[in-house]
Amino acid sequence: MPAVLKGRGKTVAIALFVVFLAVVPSLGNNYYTSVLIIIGIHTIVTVGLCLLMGYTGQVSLGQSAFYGLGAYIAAVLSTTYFVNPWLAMLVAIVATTAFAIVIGFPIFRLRGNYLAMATLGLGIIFWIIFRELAGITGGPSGLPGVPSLSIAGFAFSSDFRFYYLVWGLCLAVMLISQNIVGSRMGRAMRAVRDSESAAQSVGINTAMVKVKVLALSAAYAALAGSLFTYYLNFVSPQPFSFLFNIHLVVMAVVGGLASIWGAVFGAATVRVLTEFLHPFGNIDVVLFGLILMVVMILTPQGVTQGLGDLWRALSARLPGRAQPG
Amino acid sequence: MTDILQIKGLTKNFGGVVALRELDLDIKAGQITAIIGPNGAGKTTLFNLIAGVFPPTSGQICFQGKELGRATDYQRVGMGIARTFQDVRLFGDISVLENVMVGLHSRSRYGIMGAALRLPHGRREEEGIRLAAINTLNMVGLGRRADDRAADITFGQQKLVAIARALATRPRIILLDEPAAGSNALERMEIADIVKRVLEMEITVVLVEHDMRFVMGTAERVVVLDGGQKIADGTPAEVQSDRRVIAAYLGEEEDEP
Repeated sequence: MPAVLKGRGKTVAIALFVVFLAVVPSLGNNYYTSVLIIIGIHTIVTVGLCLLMGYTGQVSLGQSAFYGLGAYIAAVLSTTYFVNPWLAMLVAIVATTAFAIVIGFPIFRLRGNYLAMATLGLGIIFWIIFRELAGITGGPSGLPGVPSLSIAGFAFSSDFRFYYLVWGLCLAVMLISQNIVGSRMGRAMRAVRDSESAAQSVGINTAMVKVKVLALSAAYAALAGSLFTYYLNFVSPQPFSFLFNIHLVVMAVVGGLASIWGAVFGAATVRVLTEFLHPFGNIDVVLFGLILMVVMILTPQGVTQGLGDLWRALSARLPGRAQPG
Repeated sequence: MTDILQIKGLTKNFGGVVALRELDLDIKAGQITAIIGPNGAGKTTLFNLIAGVFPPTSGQICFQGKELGRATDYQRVGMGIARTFQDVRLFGDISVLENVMVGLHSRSRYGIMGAALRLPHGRREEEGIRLAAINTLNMVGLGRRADDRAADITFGQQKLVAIARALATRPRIILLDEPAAGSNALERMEIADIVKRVLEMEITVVLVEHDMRFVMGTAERVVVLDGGQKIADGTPAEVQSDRRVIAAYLGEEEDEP
């Protein structure tokens, strides 16, 4: 099983991570807080991609479509039609999930490279729709004035408040996904990944499994997209371009395709690098391509798994320590 | 004995190639039936048609008196038809036990919601799945390999896990595609033993096999296919002395002294 840490070690690591998350905003540095909010949002999308690519073996280069659909539905409903932001968010998630189910059946008639191309097309089509459907979406310049989320007068308008909302939801998404991965459904997913014909031979409706996972990943992406738009109080096509799909794949691969908790690490790595490389223009694309190649060659199960293996190898060499399983 | 499987006029064309031609075959419940024949005789095609991997060109298959029609392969598993593959096809990246647990998919219900929220009924079911899988794995003698990655065990062991995975679906009939191929003498004895125990579980066995000693030692009935048609059908002894069978296996020169 691709678990970096097992048993107590994993519990401790997760506890430390949660404490770290809880403490960061009280440092009072708005920049760190805002970077972590984006990392949280991206983690939610990445977890969905991991379920789809890592556990079910189905490539998607079009998650930006669901991410953008979630953002735009939430933004348009709450801005143009004055729908309550929470309700708009719910509608965005439900509608995007329904859309994923509808396109899921035809799209999964394809496999491998063809599936990759079809999903790639999906992402590009929606990017064009967001830009060109100016009457609804505001076109290339976007839609300003998106309201903030609030509960009974308590508005998630500051970074500090929004931070806890995003990470609360992000941890919930990770927990739910971890539970699914270890269940009957999770086994069916990995069966589909390892041998589709054998999966059918033990009674698994493989097309249905794929569509369900796509729908779940779309729901996650739409949740993230609507959070994103409520965070920025703005929506424009730019974050939903093809480039985002490349970033997503790098996040998933760096974290380990078949690793839910690795998604945080992947999303953080990509985000932090993007922040650092900002002054140098588009060099990040080159670097991400490089990272993708190096990770796939050296530790195809992800950097977190690679570091875990390294740690086990080192600790096994220390005298007086039994090799941990 | 009742017929668990009734095949009538079954034909399968792949493009212009006739893989199976007008086959009539009844499989008796509670028996071990072996299907033999030279390469390309249509044995695996027959299995794929019974399992529902693809539809027949014409003809019909009745299982326990019910016409299978267009039921998909995963639906047929639910009805009680299980199969293994010539090339094993385990789920390589998950554990041996998980492979067998996947076999219980159609015998369990709980879905995404039950899993996501760890609802009590899902956890109860999961415990049942685990226990049943351990039992089935022990039946093929591989309990000690439960936590190994499936791709890491030997080929012979993988074949046994594949049988356990098929048995976990709780079938009425199991189709074994070359269960002994690639195994050594000791493993073949083990497999023959398992096949007999499967029969004791009131599961009908149909097997395709090239190893004649294995077939003669296990099967009660042997059906010989050649060129998509049935050329012999009887006890192992009857089939072994059939001139057409000898001809099919050794070539057409029947006139030779």
